Amino acid sequence: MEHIISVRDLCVHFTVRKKGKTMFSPREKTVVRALDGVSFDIAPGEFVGYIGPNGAGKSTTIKCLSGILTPTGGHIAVLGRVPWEERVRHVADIGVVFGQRTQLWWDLPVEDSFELLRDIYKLDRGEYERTKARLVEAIDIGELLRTPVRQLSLGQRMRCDLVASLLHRPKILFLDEPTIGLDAVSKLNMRGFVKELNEKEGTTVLLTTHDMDDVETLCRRLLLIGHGKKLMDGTVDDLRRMAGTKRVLKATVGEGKVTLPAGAVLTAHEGRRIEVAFDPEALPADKLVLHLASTAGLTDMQVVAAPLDETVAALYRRMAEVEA
Amino acid sequence: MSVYFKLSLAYLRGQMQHLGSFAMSVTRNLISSVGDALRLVLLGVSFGAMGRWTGAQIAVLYGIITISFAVASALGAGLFSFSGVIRRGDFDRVLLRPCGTLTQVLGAKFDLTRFGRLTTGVVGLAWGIARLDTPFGAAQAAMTALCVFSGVLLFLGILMIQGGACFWTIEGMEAFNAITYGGVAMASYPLEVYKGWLRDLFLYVIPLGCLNYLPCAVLFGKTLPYPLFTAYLAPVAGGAYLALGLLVWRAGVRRYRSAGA
Amino acid sequence: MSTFRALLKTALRQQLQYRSAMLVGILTQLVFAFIYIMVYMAYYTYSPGAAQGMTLSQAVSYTWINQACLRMMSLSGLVEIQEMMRDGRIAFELARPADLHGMWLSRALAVRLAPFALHAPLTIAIGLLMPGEMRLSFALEVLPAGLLSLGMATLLSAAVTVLMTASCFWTIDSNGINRLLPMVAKVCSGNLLPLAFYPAGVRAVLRALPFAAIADAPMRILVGACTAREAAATLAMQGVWLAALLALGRVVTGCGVRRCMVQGG
Repeated sequence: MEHIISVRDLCVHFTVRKKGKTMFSPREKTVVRALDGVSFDIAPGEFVGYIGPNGAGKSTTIKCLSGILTPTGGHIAVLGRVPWEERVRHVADIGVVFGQRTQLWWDLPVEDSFELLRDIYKLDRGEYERTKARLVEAIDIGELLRTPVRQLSLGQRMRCDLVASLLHRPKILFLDEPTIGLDAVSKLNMRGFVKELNEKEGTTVLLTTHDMDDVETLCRRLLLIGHGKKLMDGTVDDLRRMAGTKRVLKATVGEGKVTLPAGAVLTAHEGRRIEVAFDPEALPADKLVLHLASTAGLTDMQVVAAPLDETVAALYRRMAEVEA
Repeated sequence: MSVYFKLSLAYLRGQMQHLGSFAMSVTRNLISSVGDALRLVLLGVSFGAMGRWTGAQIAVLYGIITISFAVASALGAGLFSFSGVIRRGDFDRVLLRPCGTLTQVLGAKFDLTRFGRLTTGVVGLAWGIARLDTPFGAAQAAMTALCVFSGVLLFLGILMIQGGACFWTIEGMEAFNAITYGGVAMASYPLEVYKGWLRDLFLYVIPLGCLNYLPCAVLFGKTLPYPLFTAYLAPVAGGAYLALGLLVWRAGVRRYRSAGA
Repeated sequence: MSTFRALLKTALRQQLQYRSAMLVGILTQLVFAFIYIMVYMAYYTYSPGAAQGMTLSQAVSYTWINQACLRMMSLSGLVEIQEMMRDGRIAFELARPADLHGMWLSRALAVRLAPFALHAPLTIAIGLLMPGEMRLSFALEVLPAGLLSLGMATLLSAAVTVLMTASCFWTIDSNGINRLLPMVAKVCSGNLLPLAFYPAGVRAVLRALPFAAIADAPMRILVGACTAREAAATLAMQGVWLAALLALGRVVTGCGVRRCMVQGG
């Protein structure tokens, strides 16, 4: 099988009824194009980030891929199946983690939820025990197994949720904002484990997230969508280039007033330390450095890529402006 | 089926974690059911018989309909509160699991607290049977059991329609409760004593009359104002409503999956 | 008075927010009114002469009024205040320079009146427009006494609401009182069934209790199921209970507040 996921011209249109002004006035109908002709392929073992601003159509895509939603048009093949036509067989082969919602039974100990999932997925006892032991060890939830889910912290619960979605050894894992609300340590653990799962087990992962650190550390490939359309398919660097390849020059300069050439923006100035943002395509680095060296007395300098967060925020803003 | 039992068991074990509030719910359900029964008893004491129907016979009618509804609402509790599942978006998770949606929704909640109503129903039925002035043997008992069983199916069907309707709108779903609870209250008496469209509603549209009034009239040796075969329609009515419920549910799931939420 | 107006407005707005729930509530009341009325009609048709103390027309009118006023005549504590007591925010409420008992009483009155104002008119109108035996009917001359009694019933219901709320000062999880009392009240008040249909001995005891003063009393007067003398006695009984429960509420609230202050919330 060349592609594990193949999406062609995916369209999802919703009819939204707006409430009339009074209780009795007729409701207006409008068609919202949540997805409007999206196509992409994913090969087995890939780790793909699926990003875009809120309302871009990320969740809708995940819903189609996982068989929850039947699209208005287009075609999807996941593991050679059409997800919405063979829901039961399809979902047995995929795992889905929603960051904000748990799939565990609130009042029961974690282990009992796992047992129930064993029944639901009709897993062989021996294989289930082996998989569980391995996952519990790897994700380090051994001491949580007897705790009722409602008593877990968010980070602990997310770890257990992740184990729960992997017990049936899915070939594809969909992660919907898995790090939302987690503290720094939990985030790092989560990323580490998912990365290992992808590299060692070869599980294909599709990750939707707003956390650009997730994207930078995990995703070798990115899909950007906005307003129901695919805007980019490439790497993190491609995304930066698309957003305008911003660089930041951090420098220590001499005393006195700093002047900058056109195209450079002073973003920070504390004593003798300055930070200058610039776009090397418009203002080559040598010009900026030469200017500073000759006017301000450059004693130390370092050029870094602008944080991805800001880059993407700028990109989303531009997308919104284009739309308006 | 085994998944259904495992899920129900899990729900009950979760409930046992909050024993205090569980006991409170049982008590509340029992008191409210005793209240409903008390209304019948007090009226019975005050008025005596209702035409050709004795107090004992009315108690049997009450027992059959009440037990059916109690069992169905315990089994179908997940459908009662299904609008919440839709509102919270939890139905997505149901679709993500490799087994039937109805199995999961029914298994998600097995409401033992409804057994308060079962208690008053059983007491009413037993008291009524003990006081009957017509013979009540194995054949009559079998007929009564069949009526109760059919009633469970019929009410489960109604609950599936109620739950399935949530796929279209979750507003005003409590209106169904007025019909089910109202129907139970009304069918606790022989439907022939009522006039007008409410009686016809529960005879022809939601055929609660097939469950107790029509078969009991024959059991108690009364002349039926309807053809005799109508006394044996309980299983048909139950089966038909269950089938209708399944159809609505499946149409609802299909709609959910094509329109999203 | 202006505080009360503000509270009433808030309560009304809260009710209006859940418009579909309100419509369903009215629908449910109508369906059950029809069912109860049809049961009475059946009994009066098939066992005429067996009923004591109430004619069919009176029972029908009683049912219409009861369904219209159900939300006003059932008991419950002030949920918001009770939540504040559980999580300790009550301290802010206590810190206000206002008479707490009076404040809660106005609030309870507003909470009782708002659903009444929105539910009752439609139900009453439908009752008045029904044909024949199902019609809500009453004599004009009972109206002054009936409405006075209804007003006292509303105040009584508010007074009990305050008492139930204040019970939270003692048992933080006062589930018992707040969940079971309403159901006891339903049976004893006439909300379940007109007290006229209860056995005579039981009826006499229940009519002397405050529960009957909240529901059965005004309805009995309004449908004309009692003599002028009985009506006067009923009004007097309501007055006594009202004075007693208001005084009790004041004392209990005061004790609760002191207790709360000592414990530090």
